[in-house]
Amino acid sequence: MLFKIRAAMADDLVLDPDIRSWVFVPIIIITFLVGIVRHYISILLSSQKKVEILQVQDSQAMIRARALRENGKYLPEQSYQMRRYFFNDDDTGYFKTQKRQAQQPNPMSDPNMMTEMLKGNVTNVLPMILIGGWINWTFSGFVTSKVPFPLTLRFKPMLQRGIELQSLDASWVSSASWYFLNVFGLRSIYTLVLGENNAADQSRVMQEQMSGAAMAMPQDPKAAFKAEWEALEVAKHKWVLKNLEQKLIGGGSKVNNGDSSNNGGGSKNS
Amino acid sequence: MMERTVTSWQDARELFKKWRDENERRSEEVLELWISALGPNVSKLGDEKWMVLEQVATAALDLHNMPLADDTLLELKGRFPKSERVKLLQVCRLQALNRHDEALKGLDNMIARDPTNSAAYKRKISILKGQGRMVEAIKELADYLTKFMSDQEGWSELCDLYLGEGDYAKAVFCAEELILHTPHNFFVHQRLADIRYTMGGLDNLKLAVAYYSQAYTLNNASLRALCGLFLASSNLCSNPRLPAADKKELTKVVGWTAKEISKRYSGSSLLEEAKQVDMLENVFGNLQIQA
Repeated sequence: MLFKIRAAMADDLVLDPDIRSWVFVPIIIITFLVGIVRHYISILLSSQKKVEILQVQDSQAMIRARALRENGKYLPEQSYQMRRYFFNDDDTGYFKTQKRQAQQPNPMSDPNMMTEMLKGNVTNVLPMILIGGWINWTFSGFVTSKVPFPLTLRFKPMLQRGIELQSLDASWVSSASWYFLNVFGLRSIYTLVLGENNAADQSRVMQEQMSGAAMAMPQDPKAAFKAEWEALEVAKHKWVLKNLEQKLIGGGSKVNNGDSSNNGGGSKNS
Repeated sequence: MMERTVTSWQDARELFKKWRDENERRSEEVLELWISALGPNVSKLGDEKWMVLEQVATAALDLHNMPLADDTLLELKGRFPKSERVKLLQVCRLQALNRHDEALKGLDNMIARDPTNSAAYKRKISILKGQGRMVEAIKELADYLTKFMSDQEGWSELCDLYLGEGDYAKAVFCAEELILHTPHNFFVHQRLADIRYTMGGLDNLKLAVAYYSQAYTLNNASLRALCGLFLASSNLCSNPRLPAADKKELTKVVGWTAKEISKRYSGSSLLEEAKQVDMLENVFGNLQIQA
């Protein structure tokens, strides 16, 4: 009974055409234009990040040491030990001789880093807050459109931000939510207009910030070297190709039954 | 190579993007598409234009189409006067014009400006290699690899250079380095096995057998690995220093691989079923390296 009334109410809701021309469309245009402006501002402000050669060398050495630890089993004992000594030898090992001072880059003392952070904020966070706040303030409280399919009540906080109406059907979209849908949904339009790798897309920027925070951890080469040295020190070498040819012919007789499928599996590996 | 002669500029753009992302060179096709489809519509590309121009310039240099290369380079230089990427292209142009010394000088400057620019190092090595200065190229590349230790292409190239010089022990080191980085690629195992087999000797042949087996395990379609396994194991069998127990095991491997190989060819009518194994053994017997 109650449900019927509610459904009937939802059907009866008619939106003023002015909402379309003064709220719905302007929000699209504003988010789009802000994205374009963001793209060009970030191009203007962007500066090539300088990477030190030592940093590159260290990180590549770490990758190589890790590869040795993980895949050293494919090398014969002698080759493995040779590489291990290259990294770990007490007198000449790479991890022992390369003394890096433990720099703790303090963002406040490094003016370069300060400006980087500032630029990031200016192009990413600031417009998000400013425009979002402004949209919320100007267009608050409008029901702008309706998604053409029924939704459960769970979607209400997502699609009806700023309107707390119990009786309103969940498929109606509020102005604030419409703005967020635009922010995250305009990506392909930007690629169409600005080409690939543009800086307009906010959702991409947010992802980058998430992963960037993990990557830009104040990396201390000394500690990292020590950790890798320890890991390599305790790693044991096990030559996995031992007697492989015997296994091959041993398993071969079994495998031969399904030769065609076997071949298929093999080519997948390549 | 390309069957489609008429392509719309949108399709061409997609193709260019695909090749760019997958690092495919395809210079002839790039030039063809540029002239037929993309060139007249370059203004429609937006900011993608510059990347396409870079691609075209590389392709033009590859095919020694100097007028086109000069045009694109001028345009790129006008837009990005300070870009290192454009500078690298200019160096490529000098290389294409055989002005090697100037190119090397330019590269040295680039490296001095930004020592992390790995493309500049690689270009320098390629110029040295192109001039036939192998020893210097090897020295440069080894130096480069002390800085960029996990560059697989670098290791692979150094392996080839050492092979060219006949320095097998060092080539083995590079091939092993490749295995560390991509242990699931059958090709790197096969390559190391090839080198080990070529070196010969008891230990090397044993390792060759192991790596050929690994390559064959990873990719059953690799006939080369199978043939290599046959050759290496039969060669090892004839080594007098091999213990008798191992020899017995290895003889089985030889028989098995010969059977597998002949099975591969059983479809062809050239060889009669019964004689196949004998014939193969004869053929391979002639191929064998006298260790």
